[in-house]
Amino acid sequence: MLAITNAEAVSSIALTIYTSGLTAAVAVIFGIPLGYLLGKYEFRGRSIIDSVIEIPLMIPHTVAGIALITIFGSAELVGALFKGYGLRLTDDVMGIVLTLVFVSATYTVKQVEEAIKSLDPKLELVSRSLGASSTFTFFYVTMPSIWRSVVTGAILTWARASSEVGALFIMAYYPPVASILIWNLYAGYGLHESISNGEVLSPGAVNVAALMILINLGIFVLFKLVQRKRQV
Amino acid sequence: MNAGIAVENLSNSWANFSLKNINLTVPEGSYFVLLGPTGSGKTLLLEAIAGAYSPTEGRIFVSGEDVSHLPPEKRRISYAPQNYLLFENMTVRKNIEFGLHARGVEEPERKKRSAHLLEMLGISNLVDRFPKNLSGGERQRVSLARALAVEPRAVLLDEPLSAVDAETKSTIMDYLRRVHKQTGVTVIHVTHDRFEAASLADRIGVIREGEIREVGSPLEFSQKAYSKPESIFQSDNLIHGSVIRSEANLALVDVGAGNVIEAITDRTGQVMLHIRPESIVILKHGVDSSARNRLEGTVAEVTDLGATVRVGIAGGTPITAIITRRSFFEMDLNIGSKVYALFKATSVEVL
Repeated sequence: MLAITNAEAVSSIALTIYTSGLTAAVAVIFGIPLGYLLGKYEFRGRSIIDSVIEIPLMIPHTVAGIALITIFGSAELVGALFKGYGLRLTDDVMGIVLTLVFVSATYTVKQVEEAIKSLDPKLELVSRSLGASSTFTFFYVTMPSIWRSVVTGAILTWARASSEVGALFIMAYYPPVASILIWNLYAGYGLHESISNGEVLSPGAVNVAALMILINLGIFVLFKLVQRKRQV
Repeated sequence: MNAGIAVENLSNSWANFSLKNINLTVPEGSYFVLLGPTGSGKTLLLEAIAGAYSPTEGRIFVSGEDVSHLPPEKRRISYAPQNYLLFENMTVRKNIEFGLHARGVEEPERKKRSAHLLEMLGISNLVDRFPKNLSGGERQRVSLARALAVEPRAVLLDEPLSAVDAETKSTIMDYLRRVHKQTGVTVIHVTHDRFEAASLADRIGVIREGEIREVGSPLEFSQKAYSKPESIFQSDNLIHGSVIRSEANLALVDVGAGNVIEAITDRTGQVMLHIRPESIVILKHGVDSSARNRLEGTVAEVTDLGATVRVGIAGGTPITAIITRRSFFEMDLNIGSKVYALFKATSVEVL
């Protein structure tokens, strides 16, 4: 039986916030150039890249987990390579983030892609005709025009990442993020907290779940406020 | 005069359209209007000059320099698109100073140049506003100031008057004339409006189906309009004449067939007059009127426009008027009715 404590619940929630945040950051860093590329250019192989990005939305996440572990598992292709340098791509923060990026970064990429498509292509031409380089144009004209979509994509990615279970079960079961802890608590002790001889054996799946709902809601409200404030 | 912009043998193909062997010379400091209907390729040509794409064939020169393979930021040609595309996240001042900022011009110099342009275009009061709070005419002036701020070798204006109302259009045209005169910058202005072209251009190039068909001065086009009715320049009430007397800005223009039209101008010699059909009043009897001009004729053509009626009057000087439906019926006009077309000297535009 799992030895569950309140401290474990707290640390798993903290781990969830941390890894989901890290996932959103990675999604933004890679999603902006990728979304820009897909939104702006037609090129050979575009549909292949598109498919790879959209696959996580279409397959069961346990399948995603299996796919990831067959590539990044310690004994597998890429995983073995990294293992040679002492890096482990399953479990731990690295494994969790890798899994979450795969299953949730799609939202950021797609948001950026759509935002770029909706921009008038002549906007960048105007900027460049005035003497601005493509880099200057990107940071001073394009980014300010799409930042809301980037933030929306990051929120969706964060939300999707913080609720992931299936792929994590296979790729990064330990340390448990909140969604896995809640499952463990429910499977081991049922809905409510379990106390034996005054000792809390389990904080109760329902309690951790309620806490997660509150935290997610809080972060959503915060993001929405930031978005609205910048729109004014 | 040196060529401000020269296009040599430019061709480019898209799925459903081609620019075909374009050759064009725009003298330095001139106001060149590229005139053509929708889908004629005029915007694509403008974009090639701006550097939006590299054409498959041909070369583009700016002040003698081959810019065919230079990126837009190295060409020093400002592009002002039809829908203005102001930077919505920046104030009017930041929009105007954008190009200077991108080129690393220090803030005091940026402010000096933007202040000068703000004043020239009469938008100093808008300096801290954001584009979303501007009218169409104001946006157009900011777009123009933004294009001029970097002191470009040429300015490309894509349909700059298509999205503003008639009154604003007239104001913007005045600004375009004034700005061109003061800065001496080479301008290529794209439009489908013949009147706009005749009113602003030093030279006009007619583009159709991806080809330059004709290039000439407005006067050359107006002369052709008389001898060649199918000319693109044929328009309502474009009347060719010569000034026979001019006093205190009031000119008498002989338009042939014994008719003389009074106009407000200090021009002499050959002129092209334009009278807007809606500025003309039709009467069945030649009663006294404050209008200085009166042409006699017979109703030759009637077109119902809904609330208004377009009346074509044949006579020594053919003319077209647009009057209200009510006036039309009150006068009981028919084909062949004898009428007088009256209009004020201030309604006559001298091109």
